[in-house]
Amino acid sequence: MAQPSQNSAGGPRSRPGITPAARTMDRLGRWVIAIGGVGVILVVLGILAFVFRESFPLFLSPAPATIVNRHTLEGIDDQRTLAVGTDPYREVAFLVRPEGIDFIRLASGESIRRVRGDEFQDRRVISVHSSLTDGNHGLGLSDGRIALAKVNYRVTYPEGKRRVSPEFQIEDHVSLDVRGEPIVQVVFRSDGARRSTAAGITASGRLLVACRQKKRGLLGGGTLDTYVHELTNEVDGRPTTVLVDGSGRRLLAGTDRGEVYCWDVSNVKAAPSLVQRFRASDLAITTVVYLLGDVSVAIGDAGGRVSTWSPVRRPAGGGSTTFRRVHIFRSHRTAVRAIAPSARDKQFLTGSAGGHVMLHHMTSGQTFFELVDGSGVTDLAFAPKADGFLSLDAGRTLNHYRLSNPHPEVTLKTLFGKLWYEGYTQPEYVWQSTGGTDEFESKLSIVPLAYGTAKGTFYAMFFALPLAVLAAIYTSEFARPSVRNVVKPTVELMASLPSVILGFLGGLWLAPLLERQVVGVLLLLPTVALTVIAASWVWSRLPRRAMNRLPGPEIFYVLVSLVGIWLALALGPWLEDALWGGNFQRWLADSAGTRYDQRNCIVVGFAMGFAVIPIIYTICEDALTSVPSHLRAGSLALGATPWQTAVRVVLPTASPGIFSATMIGFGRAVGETMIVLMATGNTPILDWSIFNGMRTMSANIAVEIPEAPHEGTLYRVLFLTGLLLAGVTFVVNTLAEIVRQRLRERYSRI
Amino acid sequence: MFRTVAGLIFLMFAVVPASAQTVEVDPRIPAYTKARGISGSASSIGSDTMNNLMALWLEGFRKYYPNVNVQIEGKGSSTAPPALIEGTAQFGPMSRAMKATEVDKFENAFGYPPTALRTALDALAVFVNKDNPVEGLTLKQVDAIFSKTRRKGHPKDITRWNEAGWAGEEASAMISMYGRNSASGTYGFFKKNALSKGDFKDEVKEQPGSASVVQGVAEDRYGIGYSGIGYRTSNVRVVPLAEDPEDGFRDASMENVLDGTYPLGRFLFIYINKTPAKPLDPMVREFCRYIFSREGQEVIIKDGYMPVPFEVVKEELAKLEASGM
Repeated sequence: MAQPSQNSAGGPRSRPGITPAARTMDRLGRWVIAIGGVGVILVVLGILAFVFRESFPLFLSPAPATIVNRHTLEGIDDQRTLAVGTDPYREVAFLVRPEGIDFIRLASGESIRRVRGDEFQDRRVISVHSSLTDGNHGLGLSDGRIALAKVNYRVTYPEGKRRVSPEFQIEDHVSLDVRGEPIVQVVFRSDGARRSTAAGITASGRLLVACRQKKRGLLGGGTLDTYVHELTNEVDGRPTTVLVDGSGRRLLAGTDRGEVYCWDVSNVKAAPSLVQRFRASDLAITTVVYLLGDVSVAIGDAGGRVSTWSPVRRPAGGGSTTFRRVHIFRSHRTAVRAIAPSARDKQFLTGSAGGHVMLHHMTSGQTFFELVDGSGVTDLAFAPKADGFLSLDAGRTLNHYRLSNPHPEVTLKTLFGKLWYEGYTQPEYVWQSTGGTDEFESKLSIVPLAYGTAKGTFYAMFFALPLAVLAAIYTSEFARPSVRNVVKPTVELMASLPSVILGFLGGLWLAPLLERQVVGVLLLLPTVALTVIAASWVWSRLPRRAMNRLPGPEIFYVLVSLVGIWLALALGPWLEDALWGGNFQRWLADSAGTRYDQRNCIVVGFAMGFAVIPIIYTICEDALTSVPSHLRAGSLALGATPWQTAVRVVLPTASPGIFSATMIGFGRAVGETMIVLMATGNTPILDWSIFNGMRTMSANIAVEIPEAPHEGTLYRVLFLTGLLLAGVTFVVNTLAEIVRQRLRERYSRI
Repeated sequence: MFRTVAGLIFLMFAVVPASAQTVEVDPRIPAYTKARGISGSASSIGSDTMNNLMALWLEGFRKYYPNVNVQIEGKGSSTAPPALIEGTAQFGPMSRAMKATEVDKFENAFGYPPTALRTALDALAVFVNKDNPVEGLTLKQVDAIFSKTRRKGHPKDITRWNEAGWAGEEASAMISMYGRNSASGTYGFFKKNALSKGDFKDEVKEQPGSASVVQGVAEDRYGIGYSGIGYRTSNVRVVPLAEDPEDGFRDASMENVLDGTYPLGRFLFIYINKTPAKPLDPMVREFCRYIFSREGQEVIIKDGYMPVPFEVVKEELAKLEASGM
């Protein structure tokens, strides 16, 4: 940079009249600028590094579970522990044993509380079902009854320290089997209010369900009606496992022939009606478990295969749904003995007879790890906060693991691929990041956002680019200097409008206006163009004398354009009546099936155009004016018309500048946030139609970052979209710079 | 000219008494008693639904304690838990209950769960344009209008107004849905209760605030949107709703919210960080006490929401006391 100045004057030092002070200032200035420049580069790199660091952990695979401790439980043979559970803080474990319930401290293994005797009336517990979120347990007893138990962990803070004290209570009994056979498989779920359902399989393979409904009494309380139905005869083969959802609508049972039956049990009095019967495996089904939210099920079979199934709406059948397989996970190779869903997300653990434990995630279809855990898993329990789990080995050893898997729902496939989400009729790209509950399945596809960004940019450039470039050519080549001196600052003033204001005006003022006049607005382009051309023809035919009396051509054309605009808006309703029965929007919906949204791309195009036009215009205009005047003069002197000069000489020479202007405008449109945030509906749709909106990446970041918990999945995914935006801008700008350099080399020779 | 003005005045008188609700604060709730030596500053980050409410409470509170200053920021309920965890806010107003994962994060940071105070009642209202003649909607219809998963079980998707009970030729227009952004507790509550935890359609326009939802519906003849009842304006109409079509449509009134016949009634919460067995910061305690006083509850009516019954006030005041239980 310093070279040319030295060459031109033989070095600044030798130039007379330069004082040492000026030289020092010179040197100082050079340093300040150098430091500033390097600083800017460092800051940009630093920001990129930070954004990268925030989003990178999404793709790290989780550390395998680490064992915290191991306890050997008392009891041999038929005294072995049946099932385990823990409190949210993993301080107390809950053991179900044939003779009763034990609570132990997980850290030390010491027993806190035992429930024996009276509560079970000397019957033995054969099977257990723990519901995921409400502490309800069903205990299948040896006399054909089910004990409905509630486990509750009371947390107190004496002297500011946390203390967990377990509470256990048997609330009721259900006589499921009048013949008194032991219940070998049990399930009990309650909706927390009026409806509860218990079901079980007896030792001889009979399938029974008890539906209970509380009648609303006049003075509270009310009576409880229980209806028992037997379903054994509806099943081919022997039922092996049974399942009920929390609302008491569906009953599922797996058989030893690999089939799963699904009944509708919403009517307590009527016999359950079979809704669906599907083959889930060639081997016997060993476990079927609802994942969090009671929508999808995970099914394990005797061969160790694990799959998840979601209800899918039948295309023709109105509201009815059928189960469909969504994912198959890594196989255990030995029979699946236990499946434990997480109470926080869509993860679940599976344990096999061969002693393997695996962690899976339903939405992404991933299996995270497989660990060998003793000789045969008999029960698994996810800790309520999903930060650990308990596994029961052969009913004798209790293993307590710690687990940390912060971003199970993110893979490249979930971010960029089509996924089949719960309740959807087909795999789709969906962005819907959060719901009101933990049961919500996050849908984090970046595709609709990238699509929205592309769409928004396209329509903004579609409006802005021709206007800005043509305006620049006009003012620099054809307009009188006095006009140019008015137009250029005015357009530049447009750039100072805050984008919030533009967005606000676009969304709340322009959008409703446009809705009423959409045909008129669409007519603007042809009508104004035609009026201007017609007026030009008239102008050229006017006698000189009349021309001199008229105001300057600029004012004339402004007036003509206004007439054109008026004509378009007046013609609009008429045309709408004539062609589309008076309602263009309805015609659009009926015939083209396109929704006309009030906040659409036309609005965005106008509002963004306001923001982008000044930038493109100014840089273009500067590039055009800085074309050396000898080129222009030469061309005109050789007899070319101003138009020929502008198009053949000035435009090519200025093309590097025009190209940069376009690219800078493009960058502005890609990153623009507030206008799209306010003037569109932020609808993450995949549709190029000009009559509806979009959700861009930048607006999405602005909308969702305040709610995203620090270092959570959403937070990191938002940073990832930021990184993508930066990447796109970087690539586009680099390409643009290369093209610009080429153009400059080519035309600098002229 | 005179006639128009007279007509307008007549209209105002005709409309106002009809829409004015007879909501009153439970007479058993005692008046606020001033404490001594309260001053300082605090900040509140959270619900947009409760933004005006917080501002009005602060205004009333400062009549007692002019030296108190509270900064109020309302971008959405989901912004409250992070702010409470990072300690940038002492009050976290939320229009939905905290999710278990949010409570987990709080507990990881402090070792105890946050304290939830049920400060007011709200009827989450479904708004349509004032020219929309729809008599009422069942929750199944609302679900079919807003959701693509239709968990409530409406047999058909609803995209046009004639499928939702608007008769006439004009009603074949497409329904234009407005909703809140996902940071909003209203969004979460609506998703959980009106959509049965299903998914919104992609075409639902997400607005950054309740006011812009209502504004959007007011400007859009075929619009429908939802927000807290406090944002009602004269350009929109609150649609009566029905959980079960046989029970008939219910207005979003206090009686219907209290007896549970209006299906989208909810509490508006304020979450605070209270260490168990330790007394609260005096200013935070007094602010909460003010909210649960007669004066504080009257403010709620002024903002268009509904005060809580005395039983709730008693329970919430007990939570403010130092206790290890």
